[in-house]
Amino acid sequence: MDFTFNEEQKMVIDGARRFAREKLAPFIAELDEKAEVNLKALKELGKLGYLGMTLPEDFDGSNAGAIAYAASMIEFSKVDAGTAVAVSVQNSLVNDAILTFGTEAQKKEFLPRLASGEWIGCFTLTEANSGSDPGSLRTSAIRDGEHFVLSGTKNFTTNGGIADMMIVFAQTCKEKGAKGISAFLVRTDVPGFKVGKHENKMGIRSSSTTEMVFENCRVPASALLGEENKGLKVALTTLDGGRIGIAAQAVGIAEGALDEAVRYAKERVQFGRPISELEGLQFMLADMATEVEIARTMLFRVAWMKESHSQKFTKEAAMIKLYASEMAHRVCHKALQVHGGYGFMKEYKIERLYRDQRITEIYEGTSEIQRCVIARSLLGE
Amino acid sequence: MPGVLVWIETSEGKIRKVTREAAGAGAKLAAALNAPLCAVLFNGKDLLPELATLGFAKVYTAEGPGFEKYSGEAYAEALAAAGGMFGADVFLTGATALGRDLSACLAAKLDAALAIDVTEIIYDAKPLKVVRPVYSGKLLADVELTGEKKVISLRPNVFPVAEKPSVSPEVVPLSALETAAIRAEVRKAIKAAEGVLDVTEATIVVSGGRGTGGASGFKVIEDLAGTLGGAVGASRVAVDEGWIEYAHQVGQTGKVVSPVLYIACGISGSTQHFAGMGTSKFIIAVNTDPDAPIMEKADFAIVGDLFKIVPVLKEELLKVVR
Amino acid sequence: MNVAVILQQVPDTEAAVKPNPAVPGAILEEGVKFILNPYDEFAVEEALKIAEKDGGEVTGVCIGPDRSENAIRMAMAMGMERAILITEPAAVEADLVTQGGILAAALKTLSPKLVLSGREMIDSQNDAAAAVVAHKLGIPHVLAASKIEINGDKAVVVRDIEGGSLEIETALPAAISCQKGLNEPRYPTLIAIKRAKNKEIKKMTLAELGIAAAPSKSRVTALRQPQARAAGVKITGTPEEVTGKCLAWLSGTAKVI
Repeated sequence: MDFTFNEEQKMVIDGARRFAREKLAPFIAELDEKAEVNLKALKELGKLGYLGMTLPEDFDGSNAGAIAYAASMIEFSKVDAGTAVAVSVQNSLVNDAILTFGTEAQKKEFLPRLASGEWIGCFTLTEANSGSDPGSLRTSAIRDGEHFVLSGTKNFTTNGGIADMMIVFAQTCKEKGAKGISAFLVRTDVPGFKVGKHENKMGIRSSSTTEMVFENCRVPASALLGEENKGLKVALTTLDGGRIGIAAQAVGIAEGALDEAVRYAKERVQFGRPISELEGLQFMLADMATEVEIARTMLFRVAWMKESHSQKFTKEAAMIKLYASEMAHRVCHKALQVHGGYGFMKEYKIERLYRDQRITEIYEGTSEIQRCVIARSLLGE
Repeated sequence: MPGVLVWIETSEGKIRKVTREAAGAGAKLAAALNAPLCAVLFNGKDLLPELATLGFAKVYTAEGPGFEKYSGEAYAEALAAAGGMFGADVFLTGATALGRDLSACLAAKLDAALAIDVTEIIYDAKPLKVVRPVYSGKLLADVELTGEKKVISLRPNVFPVAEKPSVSPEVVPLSALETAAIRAEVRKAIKAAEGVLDVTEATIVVSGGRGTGGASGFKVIEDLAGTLGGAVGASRVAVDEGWIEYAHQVGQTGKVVSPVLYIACGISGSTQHFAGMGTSKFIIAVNTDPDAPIMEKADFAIVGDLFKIVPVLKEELLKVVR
Repeated sequence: MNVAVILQQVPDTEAAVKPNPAVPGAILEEGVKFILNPYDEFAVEEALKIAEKDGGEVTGVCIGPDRSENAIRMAMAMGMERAILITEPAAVEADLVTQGGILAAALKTLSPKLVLSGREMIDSQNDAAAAVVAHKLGIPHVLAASKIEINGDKAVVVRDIEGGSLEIETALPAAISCQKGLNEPRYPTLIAIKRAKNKEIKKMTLAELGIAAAPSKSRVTALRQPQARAAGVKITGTPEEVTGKCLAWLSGTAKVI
């Protein structure tokens, strides 16, 4: 067993850390306040190769691997969890889905543009009445000769407002429920599509989350990603990988919160000495650091499973997504407590990290769904 | 018998303060070594009377168009020649931009030991020992100079100036000097805006950081600096944000200053900033955050809004200064 | 135009450095992250920009222990093609002028038209390399350049000095050290990081460079922590109150006014 990063991975991670420090950190407070996306940084990340980390070089990917990807996600998330989730969606959900399920023509059309950041992608599955239950999707794709006609409204789509293309899930066979879903690759400039409401979120406010509205939107049959009515498999397989991205985001937020707590504890003087000298506070920090380390270790093991293609990692991906996001909740909670009243103020980073953390327990499968996935795997269903 | 040689650096026809400091250190070193002290002066005959109080036994003068503008190659050649005549084996310059350049050229030419930006000389150590800040001022290095010849540049504002009774030194023109063709030639000297004092030269520096909030926030900093006859400094944040020019930046990636008084306004005081001003004699900090690192290191820390405090401070100082 | 860059590996600026009690002059390296000297990045960037104009090659030279390879790889990830690394302790521990001679000997094997370095090494805070190397190579030099313009066999360089700057015209080849503000160093792309792995780092010995070992002309006998500044007074109050106290302190304790 070797738990160290190789030199190449170290350089990739250093690069991510530096980018976060120089190109994300100076802007995040304002972007969070105004709920705006750092599109310039996102495009730059594309040029550097951080938007095609798991794609082969044949498709202009940087092929850095899932481990370097997870570690980079940690670095971005520590500083700007909103930009980080955009990176995660592009890598884990959009690129991986096309790489796994796309035709050669689809790969050639989409992957180089996504890898370079020329196009930003999104993955639009959730609807108002279909969150954890994809079987109840209402958006429909009705076949019309060599075309499908998409109608319906998606919501909570990450990257929705900045996307150039999307992977859309729609009912192609209503009777079959979850087994009648298909996935489509659609450009956002097609007639009949428009971006709907921009959500005003509690956290990750530097990411775009929108409704996606389809009104008789015609797409060719060649836009099908994977086979007709096999969309659920596309969604579930892709979400396995996606969970690594979100788990990494949670670990990053928790690390950021821990850093802030340690820094503050050393600086803040009460009763004539830094509060870091108080044993009660030391215990809190020790618990936080321990939990972060446990999550990190497991995260990289799951990333390694994905990178080495050695085995199926559905259960482990669910476990780390569940553990890391709930761990981040506890760590952010304690880190804010360390800050006392100042932690409640927007001047302190922990206030934002605390808000950013919350979504990690919800999107790409709630904690409850992760528990279902784990239990199902345990019980051999 | 060894000798000590000091380069007389001038700026706009005046002897730089750091040169007087180097002369003071040179005199002490010469006394410790029981050696004579000399100087080399380029194109500045009218400064000779002023040099009389600095304790030089001899002053070598180099005149001519070849020395009108600074050239590391030509100046080093002249210093080496003078050093040869005088028998000097310790050469001192100020650690100014050009002093550093010259000391490097000279050390290479003489195959000498080189110590840059020295803050202390152990005068009686054998072999000679100096102290210089390293690792962004986080550590001090004791450096033993074992080479036969030694070139040392001294950090400005660290060594005291010691005026001596006026004794006219012997003036020796370096007439026979033949300089090689100058290959890196100064074509133009570009001056910063009129009346702007450089941070490295000022005895008082007033600096602004993130807390100034923008270019317009530097007005109060400039006003206070003006009242005190000091220079305006800035933290990296302020420069990176484009609120003030890079020339004002103090810190690891900016300039190193060592004034008598450093007033940090709205600067948190990172290690990188300290690398540039940690050797200031006195530090005053004005910051809204009582826990900012600078507040623990300042001699006088004022917790409060710089926009409310600095203008009042300026008004009150104005009364005193007048 | 072929450009060579002098590189150095240094501890990260954020690193807490402590003297190594067992080795005089050295720091404790455990837990310290080492990076490419930040000023060297300006040099590498400028070298790449100049070389890219006419398809020239950027090479590097470095004196340092084996771990310096990582700093060289960083420069290679930015686009540098190959490098010479000298790891012999006699070179690593040599004085500045001797090191300049070693670097010059290595640079000769690369025959560059321009030699660039960072303005200063942030660990030793030495800034003489470009000047010493130039002397050893018999070429002119300019230190702390904030602008470099190449015109055929000449370069026009702006360097900062106290209270302004100098515009200097220099013949080429020349050695120039690079200051912040000269350019914005690129981030390595992930593909370039991958490629950097396979680029050539040639280790050379002093014997191969034809340099005879000589006793060092200077030696760091000890590193120590500077005396911590004692915390002073901390006050709060209305602007008038704090100003009053401040003036009293300025005239009483500091005796500045």
